[in-house]
Amino acid sequence: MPSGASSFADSSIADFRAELRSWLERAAPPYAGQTSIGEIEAIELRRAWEQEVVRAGYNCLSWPTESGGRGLGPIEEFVFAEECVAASVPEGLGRIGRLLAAPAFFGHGTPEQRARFLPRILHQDDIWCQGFSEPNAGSDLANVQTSARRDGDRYLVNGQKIWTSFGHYSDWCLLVTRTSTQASRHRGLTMFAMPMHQPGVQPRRIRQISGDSEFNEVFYDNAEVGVDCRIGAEGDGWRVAMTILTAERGVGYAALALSDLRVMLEMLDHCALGNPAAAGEAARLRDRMVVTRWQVMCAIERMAADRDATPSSSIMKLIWSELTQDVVRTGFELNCPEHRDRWRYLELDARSDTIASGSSEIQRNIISERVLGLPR
Amino acid sequence: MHAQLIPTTLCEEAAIAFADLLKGRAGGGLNDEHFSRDWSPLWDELVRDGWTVIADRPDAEFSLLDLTAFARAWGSYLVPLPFLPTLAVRRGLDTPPEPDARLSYAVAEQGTTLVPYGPTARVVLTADGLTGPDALPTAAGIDDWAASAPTTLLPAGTGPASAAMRRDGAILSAAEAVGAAAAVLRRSVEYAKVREQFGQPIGRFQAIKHRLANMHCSVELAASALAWACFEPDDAARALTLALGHCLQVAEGAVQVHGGIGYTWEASPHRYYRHIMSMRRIVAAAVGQA
Repeated sequence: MPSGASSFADSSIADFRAELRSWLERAAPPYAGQTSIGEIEAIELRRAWEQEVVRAGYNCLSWPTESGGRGLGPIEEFVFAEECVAASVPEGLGRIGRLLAAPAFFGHGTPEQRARFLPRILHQDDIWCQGFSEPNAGSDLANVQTSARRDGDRYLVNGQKIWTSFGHYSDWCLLVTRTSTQASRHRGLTMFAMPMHQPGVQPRRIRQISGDSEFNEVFYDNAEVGVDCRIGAEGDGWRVAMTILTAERGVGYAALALSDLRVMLEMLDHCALGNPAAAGEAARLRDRMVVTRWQVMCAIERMAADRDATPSSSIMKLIWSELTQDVVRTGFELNCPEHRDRWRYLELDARSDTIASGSSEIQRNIISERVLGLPR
Repeated sequence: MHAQLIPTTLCEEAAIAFADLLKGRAGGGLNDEHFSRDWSPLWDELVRDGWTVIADRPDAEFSLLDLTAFARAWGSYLVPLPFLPTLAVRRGLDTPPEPDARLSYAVAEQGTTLVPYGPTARVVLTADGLTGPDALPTAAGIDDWAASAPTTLLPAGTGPASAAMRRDGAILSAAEAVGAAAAVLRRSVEYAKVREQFGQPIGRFQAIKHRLANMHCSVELAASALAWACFEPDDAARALTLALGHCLQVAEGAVQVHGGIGYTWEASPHRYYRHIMSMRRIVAAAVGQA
């Protein structure tokens, strides 16, 4: 249950923001604004920045203090994300660990698992990835075929995952497997924390349309995972997956997306200088971003007040992903000399926003069926 | 310290009770009878139950953001009474008049002066203060594009109410539009569940589903824009313009989902559509000024 401030208007938030800004003024400069470095250097920079964040006690703010957090809440997390973007520091590598694995352990893990994994997530000792999709199980996640067969005190995993971001350097994977073919499609699934550094786990990079290769196919060939790494019971996999997917579409990711939008809108303003029509378009897009930010903040206050924000997550994801694409398209079409290379990269790269983490088509199905109650 | 960007729990509960009251008194069909009825009994009930004074200072229980929750509920029922202008005016007065006073306020538009719900109000706030019906300039006319939101048209040059008052009025008018949008969305969802073609409810087809999902997102964004306007009043014009744009999209979508029926006078979608259009006119006039 989150605690911390109950409103963005609390004086404690103003204090928190001030404290953050003065820390960032001291700590951020060596890490700020480094956009033209290579991939390996970028990974090292992000890792190093994350260690700064850990050292200063700003990682996992909303975790309970007994798990190493500060017992704060989603409002402080959002403020932290915003101030970091304003300081132009890179994002750390711990997104999946903090935002996806941690909720899985808090919601479904054993005390031993929390004691084992959470400190390593907190201190960024482990990098996590997410093993959900398969070639035949994308939007239809319940069609997962990667199997986990019990063998003594471990399971043997066989199959293939796809779109596994960071799979090539992750330590652990949140892995959805099928443990029973007799139960219904949804009930035969089981979630594991899969150790990635073993011979039976073979990631293979996939090249994206943007030219990057951030994600992978991952082949599991009699890969081993201990029973102690099973998250929840056999057959709980769908429930645990839903916890994770809700988090993926929730305020944490929305806050990060908003931060990205801010950076892009600043770039857009540059490109629109001296062009009144473009400046008008940029202003309209900025207004849409501001409303989206208010929507996220209202959703966060609902979460902090323990009023159910779950239905909001599909709506938020749909909105920020499509707004991002609109901003990127506008930037690309302006074709300004200073930023054209960056915009055309983003134009291709941003296609994934409406496909990953539940495509826009799926989000609209969820909104119409689960929120509006329309028939399937 | 309470949540502030969203209505307080107390407010949400009160707004539910308010909506229930309205549903009982005004929740029937949006037919000719609804629009030609004498709504005085409802006004008297609102006065009796204390609803008309909820914005009164100095002991205001509800923030402006809270008041938008009541405004949204009000907007769902398309009742031609000056309830929201009354709240807006009372909120801006150090000594509000008696609780049964039907109030509105003047906003300048190019070529004319608008008084929201003017034909149903008895007293109007202008630059000269609260002005009774005899002191007002002769009405130039009435805009009854929306039977649910008749607007008095006074000659240009009638001094408008203060900027702050107009802004509060605009925020509540925008909230009213959000309520109307939410209501017509609900009607559209119900229609889609019930109307069958090709052997099944049309709500099963993704084109319909996805349009309704988009409309739901529009309502959410419009509501979030209200929070923006409440907390950053200097941005009210930007925020409320966006909000009304979303409400219009919902109204357009509602006609589309209802198909041919949606295009008829007898069906309800156009009632909400006209109401939203009228709110847009008022909001644009109210916050488009210095």
